[in-house]
Amino acid sequence: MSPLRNLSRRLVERLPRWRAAPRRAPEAGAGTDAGAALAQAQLALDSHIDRKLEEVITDTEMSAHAIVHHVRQLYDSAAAVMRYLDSSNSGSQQIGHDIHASVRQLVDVRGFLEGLPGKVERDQQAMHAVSQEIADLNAQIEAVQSIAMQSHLLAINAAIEASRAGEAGRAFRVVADEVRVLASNSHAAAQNIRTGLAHAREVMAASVRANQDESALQLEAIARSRGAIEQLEHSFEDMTQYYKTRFTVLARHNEQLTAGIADVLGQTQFQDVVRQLIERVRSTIDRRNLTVQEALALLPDTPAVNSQVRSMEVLLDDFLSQEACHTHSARLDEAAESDGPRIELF
Amino acid sequence: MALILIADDDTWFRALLVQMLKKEGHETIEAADGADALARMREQRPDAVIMDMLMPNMDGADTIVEMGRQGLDIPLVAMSGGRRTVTSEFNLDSARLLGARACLTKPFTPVQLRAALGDVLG
Repeated sequence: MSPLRNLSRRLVERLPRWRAAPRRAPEAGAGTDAGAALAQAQLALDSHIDRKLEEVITDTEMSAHAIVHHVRQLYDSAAAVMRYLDSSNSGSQQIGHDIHASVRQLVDVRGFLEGLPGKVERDQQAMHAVSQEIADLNAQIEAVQSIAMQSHLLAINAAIEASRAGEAGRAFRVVADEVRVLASNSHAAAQNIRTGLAHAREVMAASVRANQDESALQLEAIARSRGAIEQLEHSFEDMTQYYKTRFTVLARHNEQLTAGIADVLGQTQFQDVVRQLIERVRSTIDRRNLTVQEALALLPDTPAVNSQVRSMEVLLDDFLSQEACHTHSARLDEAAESDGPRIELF
Repeated sequence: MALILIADDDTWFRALLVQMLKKEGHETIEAADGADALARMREQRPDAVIMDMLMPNMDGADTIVEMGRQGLDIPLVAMSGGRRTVTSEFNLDSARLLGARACLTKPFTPVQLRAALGDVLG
């Protein structure tokens, strides 16, 4: 049992007897001195206990205020992070929608690129077809030239026959001459067309060759672009998922942290309840001491009472030496000056 | 024997898991995404949930958070195959932080599945 509780017990044990004892005025002499000495010893002890309780109240109050202050700061900080995460959530949702819209556009571009090789092939086939048509037209031109040649020969023969007919064939000779001019013109026109078509064919062939080389490069570029777009598409989706998951985990933990801090804050308020209790106890002890001192003044001077006085003095010394080892206020100051958080067991 | 909810958008993988779990003597119910899984949990109160972290509509992370909010305290095994950025390690670490009791990296063997279920069912 602690000295303080032991003393209290002993004082409480004596109280009923003191109260039961007839109240009389303290007599002059040794009895009064002994009672006064005991009362003085008790007052000295109570005074030290009271100072300690005062320290406890101050420390508890300061500590409670400091804890509440820090926890409130933590709570405010966690709440600010929560609000930040909430606003980030709506922002990230918007970014997510934008990314999805971009991905849809990329998918369209990829679809277009995927159709390009077919289109290039169709264009090449069309150019080959046009080249073939030109080659076919060459054969037709040869037929026209052949007709022109035959017409020319026919016109010469007609002119010969018109000469033989003399005056009667004069008109026919005019017709034969016109046919010969017409045949010559047809031949010249056919020759021009053949030359033009040959040139067009050369140009077309050169274009097809160039186009083939270019198309091969374009197809390679298209294949690379398709791959890049597909990769970009996956990267967008991955990035969205990655940050969304991180955000979800952070938000959930911060939610729990905020709730935990609010709970700690609530619990810390009870420190003040402790302070109020100690103050009520002090007030009661003060009132009790008045009664005890009156009773002590009535004690006779006996060896037993003198022994109690000595016990009280020893008790006071013990209390003082014990408390000298527990300078809590000093330790609080040290903790406040240190950089990191410090945990002390009391 | 326990009632196990399998939540995965991959129909083929769900069918495979159903087969594996039935061989172990469990009953199964299935869901194709997080929202579907939550509805099944509320209706049928399974003994455990095996859930893929990457699902359309509502993914695994959102589903676990929502389970907590709705008071659905059902033991959860998270699984993930992962992609280039959102790797299976990342997904499963996230799942653990959110409260998954066991994790499986796809693909996994029946032995690994049995061990994970043993961890959560006790």
